[in-house]
Amino acid sequence: MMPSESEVVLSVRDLDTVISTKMGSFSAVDRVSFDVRRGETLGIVGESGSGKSMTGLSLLRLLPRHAASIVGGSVKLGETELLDLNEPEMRKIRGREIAMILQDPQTSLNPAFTVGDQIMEALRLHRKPGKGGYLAMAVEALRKVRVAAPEMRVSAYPHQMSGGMRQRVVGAIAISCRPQIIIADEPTTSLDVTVQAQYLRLLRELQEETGLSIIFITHDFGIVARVCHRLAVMYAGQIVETGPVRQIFERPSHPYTEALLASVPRLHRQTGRLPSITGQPPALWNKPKGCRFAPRCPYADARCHAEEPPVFDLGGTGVMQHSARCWRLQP
Amino acid sequence: MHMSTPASAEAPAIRKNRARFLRPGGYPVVPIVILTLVLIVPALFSPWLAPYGAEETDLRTRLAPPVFFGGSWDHMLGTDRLGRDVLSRTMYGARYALSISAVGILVGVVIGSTLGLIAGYARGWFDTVIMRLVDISLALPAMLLALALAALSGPSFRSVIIVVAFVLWAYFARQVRAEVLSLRELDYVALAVVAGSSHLTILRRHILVNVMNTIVVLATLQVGIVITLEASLSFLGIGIPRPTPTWGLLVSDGRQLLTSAWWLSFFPGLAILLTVLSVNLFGDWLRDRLDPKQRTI
Amino acid sequence: MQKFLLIRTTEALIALWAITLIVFGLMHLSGNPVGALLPDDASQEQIDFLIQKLGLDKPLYVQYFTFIANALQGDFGMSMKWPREEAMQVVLNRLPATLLLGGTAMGLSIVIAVPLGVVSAVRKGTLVDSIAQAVALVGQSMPSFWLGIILIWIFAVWLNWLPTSGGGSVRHLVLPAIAIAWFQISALTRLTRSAMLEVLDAEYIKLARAKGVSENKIVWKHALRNAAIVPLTYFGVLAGSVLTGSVVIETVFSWPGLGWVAIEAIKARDFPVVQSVVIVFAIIFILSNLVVDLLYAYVDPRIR
Repeated sequence: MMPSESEVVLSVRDLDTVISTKMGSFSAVDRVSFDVRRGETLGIVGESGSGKSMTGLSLLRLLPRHAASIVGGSVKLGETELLDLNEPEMRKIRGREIAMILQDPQTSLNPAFTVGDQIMEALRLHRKPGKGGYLAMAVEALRKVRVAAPEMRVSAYPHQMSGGMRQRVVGAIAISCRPQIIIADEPTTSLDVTVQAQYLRLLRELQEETGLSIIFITHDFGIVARVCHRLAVMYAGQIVETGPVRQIFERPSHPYTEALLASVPRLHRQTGRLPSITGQPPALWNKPKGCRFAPRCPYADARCHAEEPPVFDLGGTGVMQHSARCWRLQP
Repeated sequence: MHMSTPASAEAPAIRKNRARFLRPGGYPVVPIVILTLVLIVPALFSPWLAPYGAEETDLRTRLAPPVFFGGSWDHMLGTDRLGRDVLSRTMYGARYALSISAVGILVGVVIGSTLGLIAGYARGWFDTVIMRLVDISLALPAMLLALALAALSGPSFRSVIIVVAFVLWAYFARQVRAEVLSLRELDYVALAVVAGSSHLTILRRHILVNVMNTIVVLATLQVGIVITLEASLSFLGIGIPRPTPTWGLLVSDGRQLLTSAWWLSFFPGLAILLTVLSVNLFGDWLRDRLDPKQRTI
Repeated sequence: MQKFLLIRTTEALIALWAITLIVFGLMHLSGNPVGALLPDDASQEQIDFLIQKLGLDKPLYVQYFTFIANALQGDFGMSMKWPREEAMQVVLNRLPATLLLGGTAMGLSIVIAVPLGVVSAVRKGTLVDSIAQAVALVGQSMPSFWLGIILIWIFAVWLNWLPTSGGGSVRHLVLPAIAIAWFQISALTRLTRSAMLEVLDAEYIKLARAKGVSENKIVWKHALRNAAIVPLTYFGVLAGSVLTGSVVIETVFSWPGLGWVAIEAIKARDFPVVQSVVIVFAIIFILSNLVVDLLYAYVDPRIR
């Protein structure tokens, strides 16, 4: 279910984010580029430490002030360059144009305020009151995320709700101001499997109803298949492959993607042992000179170890555009 | 395509830890030096190091100011109404500060830790009773007890020890019990039980050893409180009785002559401040080293 | 909520009862109870007479019940140091002065320490933070009676801006209140700072930022609301600390409150008054703990 050719709502080019540690400054997000279209779900997939969460935070410029900062690149929402905005201007974007959902529903909601208060806070910041005022709007937001008896739930405290319901509340906060894009950082990782499925379906329905774009950050390839239209695979701070989900699954072009797909257990295949990728991703301060995946790559040759490969275009335009960062693809 | 470097273009500078100078090489040098000079050396060696005796009077040099305020090097920190040397009396005062805190803490810690150990390990009604006592004990400020004791039996060394032990035991009982509760759930304790070790052996070999760290850190952090408490009680006249020259008593005596001889109260009080400060810093360092989960800062 | 209140009140009453036991018990454990009440050269006749008059020859439990019965009526006997005054009355006369001093000190502490702790946490690592932390550390290590004396020396003796001792006016209140508050401010600032630091790291703070909430609101509304429970817990300790502090500081400044009465009574061996003071102190202390628990429940909805 691929959306037809639609406009690009977010355009990221060569985003560079640096982390400061006791041992010095290191690149965590390295020349990351991708587009997000209206009504599309882009998955950013990678292991922990690949830089995917950092990318998400960088888009909203929510990096911890003294520990990390964006040092280069461009993030354009429509015509607006987000990296040029000052803080008050950026605050108008947050929650209003781009919203965020975090991983752990347990800790995402402030325990001292009711669920309704927290939704209404977002509403007050970004929208004018409709009929019935902000309270009615909050109830409506809860209804949209399929929370039962929203009029009662609106005055409940987070600790009085289950994990799945809390995550819905987080979703309600996110959609309440009708953003163009939602950045969802591992939204289902902390949920039970059945609850997970319900939540993913909810996101899909919201997207179909409103034309919402979603950037779905996850490490779980299985989820990606169900939810995303396009995929960006990240490794050691770089995007190594971008393309339509189906195509990537059928014809992975980067050895890392290939290995990841091979390690996902599938019901219809009988496997003896689950294949896993040998080795570890490189440490932040110890990135190899050439291709970052070369040390673990079964196809790596001398050039791979010596020179970093550029991104090669594999054809397709717009939503079908497919590219990967690997020397084997050089024509 | 817009290429720009946003406002915070440079990578954020790594914040230097300003407290580094207090701990060159990671050891709390300054606190230890101060502690040694102000508390330990005088406490142990004042009979040989103090320039004068604690009760040595010299009416010719009464109320002499300290050396940089018009006095002489003979009496560096001045003298009191009877010509007694402030420096010497302050040095002798250190003995009482050290001995009271040592004895008081020992009593409080031993009682509290033992009870906490047993309560945490044995559970059951013993645990409940002890914890109720702990709650009540923690609910009562030490001052109440001190007042009551002083009214009844008059100020004495013994009543100070009782007050100190009272203040400490409940706190230690609670902390030790909490530690024991988590330790006894660990696998190697279960293994020891299964292997047939007696409870006493288990307590001694497995649990006590681990609890020791916590006890030592907590005890160090309490020294400051105990010294201040003792000084306050002596200042009020309900602690160690006259004429023992404790720091609290020295400050109290100096209060009468504040307008004319400020040094009488100032230096003994300064000794208390420096001692408590260094002990606190040292205790913080010790806690970071031995038991980081106690950190609150 | 009702149940919570009921439980806490019951516990408070039990604690109070325990104190009456202690006060009563100590008096009888110390051997001859009349020894404190009579001059050393009293004859055996006089001793016997007093024992009978005070009912000290009756069995212990009878004495205890008499004690409690009298106590509930507010009768603790006659003061010896202040002739012709009832012991409890002596104490109650001085109660307002201590409440004023203690209340001012606590108010000062909260008003200064909490914002200072918050600012310190927000500006962690800066000069403001380092200074605040250093001052707090020294403040916690300083004996309050010494601070009181130093304050007197600087402001009353040297600068002559404020009176050296006594009570009766706002000018008299300033130095003693500061002397008590100093320690509390130091402790409370450190506590608030560390609580804020922990809260500011939480996920819900990150989410609030993602909603577009301003940094000011993040700190003072979202974070503080959750961090506040830590200084609030300290509040209970604060009350006891202020109480203890007031005994010392009232003595330093000759502020005519409960603490001052207590020490004077002890010096004069006026036992009924000491008893009364201890009971009153205990009541104040237990009450303030109760109030703290109620505030606790209000701030943290999870407890309700």
